Amino acid sequence: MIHPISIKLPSGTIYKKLDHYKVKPDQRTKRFNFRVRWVAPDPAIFPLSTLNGEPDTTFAYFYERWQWFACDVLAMSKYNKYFWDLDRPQKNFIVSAFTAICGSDKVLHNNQGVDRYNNYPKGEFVLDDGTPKGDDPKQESLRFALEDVYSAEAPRINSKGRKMVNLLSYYYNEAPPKLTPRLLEDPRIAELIIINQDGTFQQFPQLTEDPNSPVIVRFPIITRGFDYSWYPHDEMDFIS
Amino acid sequence: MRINMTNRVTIVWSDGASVRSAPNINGTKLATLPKDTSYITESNVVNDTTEPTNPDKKWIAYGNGYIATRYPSSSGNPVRATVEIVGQTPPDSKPEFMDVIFDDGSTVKYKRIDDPSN
Repeated sequence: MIHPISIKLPSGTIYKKLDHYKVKPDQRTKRFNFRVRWVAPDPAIFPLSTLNGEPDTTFAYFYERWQWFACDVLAMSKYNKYFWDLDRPQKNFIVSAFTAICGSDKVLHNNQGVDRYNNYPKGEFVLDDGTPKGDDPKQESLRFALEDVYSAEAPRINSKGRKMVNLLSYYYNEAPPKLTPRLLEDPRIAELIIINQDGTFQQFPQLTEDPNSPVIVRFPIITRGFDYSWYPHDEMDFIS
Repeated sequence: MRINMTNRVTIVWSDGASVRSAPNINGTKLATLPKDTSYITESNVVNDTTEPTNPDKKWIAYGNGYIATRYPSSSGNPVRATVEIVGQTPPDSKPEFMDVIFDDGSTVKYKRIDDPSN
């Protein structure tokens, strides 16, 4: 079926179709020489870059407002509720999962996580030795294998002749979106995936209590902005 | 074409529907809803988390859990609950993104084009 490029609602508001891609896994990308990465099992991440392919080494601040928003995303994934509507044990579970996902030893917050920097949901602003953490954590600009990603822009050819796509993400210096019951449908929220050595995949485990009943971990993708949200066109499958 | 629906879910399976903690058969059973139970939700049908590509394994949110709308049965009819659209998000709410569901079942995401004259 051919989907319309734009839709005009009776109110006059116009909506434009997003390009939908799926990120290719290791074994289908030149980046990993068409093999599963040697450190697998490992989070199946791929960095975003500038249009010309330079990596973003500065990262995006993971401010207080984004930390609460991430907790809402996790709470909605696990309990189908907003964080502040949870009871105390549920809140504790989400804060514990948040702290685990956002640790410095985890890929999303590569050495700049909530254990070293301010953890607002946990209310932890000092290190074990009593020294104030003093700053907010940062989040690396990543996308996950098999992730559904979206672009509102036409692809561009960079100076090296490679076709690049600007993928939608949250920008750290903006406000999080208004919470709605459809929070998890936001195209800037990722499902966090691990790749195994045999090329199969599994979900991040932090929200799963019963292995027979896995809970998908979804998390907001936050970048430094439009200029740092590019990804090679040939490392994705175009869906629609 | 459907946009930002409110759905009415009605259980049609003779034995009712189990509310499970996650959208799969292994999810902890939280409650049972009898046949003909009907409720309103702003959630959409979601895939089974253990078999996400199986078209006959679909779930929809109920409270803190999920009930099956389609699940294979010995009779061959997988329909456990019907999902009927009863409303749409008010047009003046202008969400930044919206899902549009087309007649062939495909779901496509759209982004609002900000127009200063709006």
